[in-house]
Amino acid sequence: MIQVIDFHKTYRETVAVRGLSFEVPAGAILGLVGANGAGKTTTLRSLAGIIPPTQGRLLVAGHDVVKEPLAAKAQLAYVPDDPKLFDELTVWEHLEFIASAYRVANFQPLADELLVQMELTEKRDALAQGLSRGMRQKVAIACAYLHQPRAILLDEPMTGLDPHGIRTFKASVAERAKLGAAVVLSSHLLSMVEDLCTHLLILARGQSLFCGTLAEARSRFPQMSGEASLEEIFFHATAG
Amino acid sequence: MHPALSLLLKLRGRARWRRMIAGMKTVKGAMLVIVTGLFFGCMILPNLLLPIASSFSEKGRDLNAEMVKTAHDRVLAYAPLVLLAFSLAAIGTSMGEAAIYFSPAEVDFLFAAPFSRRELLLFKLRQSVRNALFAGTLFAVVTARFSASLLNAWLACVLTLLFMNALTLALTLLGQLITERAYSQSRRMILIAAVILIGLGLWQALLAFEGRGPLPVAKAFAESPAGRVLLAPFTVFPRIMVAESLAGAAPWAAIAAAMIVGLFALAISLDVNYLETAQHVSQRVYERLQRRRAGGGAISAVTIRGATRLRLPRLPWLWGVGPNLWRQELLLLRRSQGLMLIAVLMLVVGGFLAFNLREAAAKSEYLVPGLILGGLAYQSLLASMQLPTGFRGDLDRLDWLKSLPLRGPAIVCGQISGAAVLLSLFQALILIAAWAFFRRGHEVFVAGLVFLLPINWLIFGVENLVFLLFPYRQAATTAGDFQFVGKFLLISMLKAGLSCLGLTVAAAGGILYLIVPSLWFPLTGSLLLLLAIDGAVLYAASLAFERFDVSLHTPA
Repeated sequence: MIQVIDFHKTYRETVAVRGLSFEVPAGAILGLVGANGAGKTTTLRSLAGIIPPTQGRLLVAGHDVVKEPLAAKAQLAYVPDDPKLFDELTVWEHLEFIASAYRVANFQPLADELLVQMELTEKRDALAQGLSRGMRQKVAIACAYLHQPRAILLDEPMTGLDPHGIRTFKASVAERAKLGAAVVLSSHLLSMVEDLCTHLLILARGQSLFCGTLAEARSRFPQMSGEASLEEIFFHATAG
Repeated sequence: MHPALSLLLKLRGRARWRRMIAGMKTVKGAMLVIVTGLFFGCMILPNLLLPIASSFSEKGRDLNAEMVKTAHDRVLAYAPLVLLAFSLAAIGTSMGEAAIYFSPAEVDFLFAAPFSRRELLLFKLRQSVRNALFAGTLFAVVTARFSASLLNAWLACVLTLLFMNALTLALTLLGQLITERAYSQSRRMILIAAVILIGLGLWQALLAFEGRGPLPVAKAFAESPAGRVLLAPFTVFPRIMVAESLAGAAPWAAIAAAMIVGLFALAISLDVNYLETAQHVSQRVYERLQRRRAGGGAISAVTIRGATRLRLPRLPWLWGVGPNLWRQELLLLRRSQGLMLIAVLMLVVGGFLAFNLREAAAKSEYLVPGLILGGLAYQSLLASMQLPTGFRGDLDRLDWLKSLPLRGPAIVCGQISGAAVLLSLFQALILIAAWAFFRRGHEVFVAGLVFLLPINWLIFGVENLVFLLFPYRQAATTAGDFQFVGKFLLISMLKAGLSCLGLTVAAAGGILYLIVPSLWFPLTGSLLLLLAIDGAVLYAASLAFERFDVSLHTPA
């Protein structure tokens, strides 16, 4: 569903990502982990078609993000790390706009369902500028789910969410994957990644240190015991 | 355009009205809208009424005709030059990037959505056209008295704004089309070519100068071969404004419209991948806005590379004032770089003026010191509005300030003194330099040095007191915040009124001159009165700080 082949991204002299390749099949949840500046957000932004790659191919549902941006974007949803909403629009108007952008016919029942799921029903007609950080995050997630995307890109999606919100969010991601969506989730919360993700990609200085399932990670690093946590694997992989 | 983008424009337009109407439902909001309306009314009405008033007598009509003729001459001579200068500034600086500015919400929602780059550009263009129509209408009402009809003025203003927008957009995207490196080179080449042409034109203009004033120079420049080449596209717009009838303006308007359509068509046909640049531009503009919302004015929001590394040794405790005073001064040095740039420019201009005032200074002992003190007073007022200082600069950290183990007056004193001390030091240097240069009017210079700090302290004290009583953000919350102008005006008037009241009371110390006819006796009286008023402001601001409820009074 999502394919990244020999992806490079350079900003003037700075190499943000170097020769990254990975694949996320339908129904899989890939946890993207790495230190600050490892290239996680750059990878997600490039996959979302916001910034062009310097080299390499990025495919979403078989569509090249650079050559067929509209077809690729129609299949994906992207939630940035600090989503900026349109301050002057209400929560419902955001959903209305997204439905129009992604041509979702008869969106109201699904939008209502999402508002209930994200506990936003009472905020339906509230202006975005009056929402808390967590609420804004929930609105962005609801907008992302509205057009039933086949690829979902989430950059630090749990910042600002309350415990109930985190649980709901995790359940919703698992549900989307079960329905066949490919999910890429970038996070520093390793325990959450371990709970939720089926696959793992460890990035360091723009390069892939490991890509595969958690079980594969444990066997890849023979020094680790069979019960090693993701945290232990991460620190072992990124040491030095 | 994509229907979703049209819907977004519609929703946002509706949201603006909704916000304005919601704001008018409260007495305070309605009053602020009235004040805003009055402000714009005061700007517009004189321009509408003056031609009518002058039409009642022959003398008035003649006077008005003469004024309009003079204005036409100036518009034809200067307007193309101003437009050229603006275009060059747009190419040479980051101003041109504004043409592809998308708000952070637009970047997050639209860039990842299935819209083509052309659709997004069309969306941007529609916004530009709408803004040009609004701003152009406003300008047209102000300039209509210099035009044959309101429609002429409206056409001239709207088409000028649209052309400038189309030009910067096309140039920015053309630059993008070539690789970044080549872009810098091509931009440099365009600038060098323009500078050479301007230099040639100016040389010819200066040869024709012979001390006749700026208007002949502008005309000579426009008539030089280089001027003709550079100004050709810009001469069209003033001709619409000064045409004697609508029919006379029509051919020029048609040429202008053709240029605009051509530039917009060029911009869209290029289909440049501007999304990455637009994202960087958006981030920069957003950060600048955040800095403004954090308390600084538009000038201070400008940053200079490297200035954020400025250091300052820590100050002593000073009864609890020291820590906050140190923090304020350090932040001021690091945050208000744009203002520092303006200060340096003011120094250069001041030096130039001082050099030219030497002869006048020889005739009158108090002329130059008086002018300098007046300039410094204006600088203090400007700084109190522009500097991201005191409680305005710490609006989002007031809860933290309140949690400090310091007494209220110590915190307030530190907050006020930061800017007051720094500005007074800077102004004292100017005064001493001017004193050393002119060597006359000693009493005025000494009095100026003595009064600098207490007066600046009063201005910044009142600023902080009024802010704690009526907290507000320096930049409008959203585009639909129509009450913002009214709020800003009322608060500015209150601050100016309180500062003037304090200074007038202090000046009353001059009455002592009647008792003892010596200059120093009333000055000492005024100084003591001023210090007492400063103390009263500190007390009032401390009370206001203690009563400030962060959860209730922090504006959105």
